[in-house]
Amino acid sequence: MSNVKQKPVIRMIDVKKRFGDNEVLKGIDLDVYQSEVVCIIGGSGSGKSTMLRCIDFLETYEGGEITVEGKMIGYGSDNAGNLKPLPKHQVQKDLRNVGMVFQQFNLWPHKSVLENVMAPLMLVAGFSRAEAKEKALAALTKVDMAHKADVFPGTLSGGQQQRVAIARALAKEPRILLFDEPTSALDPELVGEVLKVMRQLAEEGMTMVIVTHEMGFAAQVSDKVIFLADGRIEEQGPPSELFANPTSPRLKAFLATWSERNGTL
Amino acid sequence: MDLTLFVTYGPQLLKGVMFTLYVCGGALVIGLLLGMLLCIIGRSGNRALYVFYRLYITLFRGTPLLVQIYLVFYGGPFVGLEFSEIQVGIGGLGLYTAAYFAEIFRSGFQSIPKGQIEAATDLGFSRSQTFFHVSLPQMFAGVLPTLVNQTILLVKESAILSVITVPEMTTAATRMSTETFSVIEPYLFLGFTYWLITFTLSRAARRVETRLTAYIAAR
Repeated sequence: MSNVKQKPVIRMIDVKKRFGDNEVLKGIDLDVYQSEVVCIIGGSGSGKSTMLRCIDFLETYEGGEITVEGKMIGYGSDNAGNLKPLPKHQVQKDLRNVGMVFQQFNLWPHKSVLENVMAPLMLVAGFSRAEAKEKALAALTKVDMAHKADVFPGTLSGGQQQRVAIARALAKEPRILLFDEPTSALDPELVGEVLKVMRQLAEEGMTMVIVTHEMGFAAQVSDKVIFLADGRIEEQGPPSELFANPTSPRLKAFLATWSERNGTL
Repeated sequence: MDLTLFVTYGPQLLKGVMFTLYVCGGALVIGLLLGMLLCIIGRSGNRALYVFYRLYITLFRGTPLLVQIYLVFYGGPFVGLEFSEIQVGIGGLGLYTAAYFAEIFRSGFQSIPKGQIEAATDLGFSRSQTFFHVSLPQMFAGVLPTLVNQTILLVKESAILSVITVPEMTTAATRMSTETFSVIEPYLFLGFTYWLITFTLSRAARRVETRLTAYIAAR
């Protein structure tokens, strides 16, 4: 977890997002630096998943701006200097160093584990079958899933599926990984194996933004914790401060509820 | 039962059977291709195209095939549309089936979780790559039983084409009946042959289904 602070790799400035009448993000500012691990916590409906999905442009945003490695995501200036939505392929190109891991894994069930990881390597990165296979197996080895390369995802446990999903995201060698509640769909006994992989990635210097309910994990791994409430960043700081001395009443209440169910941090 | 009738009428009946297969095969191809095209049009997000899609479905699914082919074959010449009975037969059956196929495809695409498409987008897939590598194979595996069902209906519906004298097997059997005053022989033969075609079809489809849905069965 180096903290060499240069330019932020992800920068969100006053980002706003609404679904119809419901304003889910009311002006989010965030800087994420190289190799930083940022955890986003907050109650359901606080906007934390939306915030993450905006970075990957799976959700559009209406106000403010998001830049990844210096490039504005989703919009570009036309000749007159007005912001215009960019075509999908351009957005994908600007986000090629960003990978996403989803709550529901979102593996393609009709492809084997190996094919799931190989497909983007062949179709998008343009590797030959042999090269793609080699890279895919390396990624699967990293998450300790190479022995299941030839089975369909449906035969795996949730934890195993999530590890494969991480391998699939890793195969394109991203510099930034986004995790949207990666352990929320898992049985409690399977959470550990996924967190272990994520911890390893953090130690290797991957820049990570993680929406999570795993406070213990957030406390141990993150450099910065963001507490979101009602579409605003209510409080943020290093986990040691934020968890030990929460200042806002809402965060205090949130952490108290959490401790009631899960014990103290 | 006078089986000797089949000595005389055998060749004609066999020709009719071949014609039924030809007409149904043609209609199936039209139905699949046009059905897929319609489905893509209906799902494109364009309002005008969607209205066209709904209109097509309402028109072809909401009226009997018999009425459609009568109108085109016998009514067409009045407005300057002249088609042969075979064109009307294959085309009519194809257009009619396409409406059903399009709706089947649509439901199949709808059942694919949105997250899988998002993962493909995140990983850099273009729209067509997502379509061919993620959506289409799963859609097809999911709707195959329904698709086969509809195809079986198509084969049986093709009997209706005898009313515009398409020389398929119902036409052949009817001629045999009227010329020889026999009823049991031609219609038993007809019933048995339709059954044989649909039975073969469903058997073959089950094999394909087993292969395509291996990933579901493996769970």
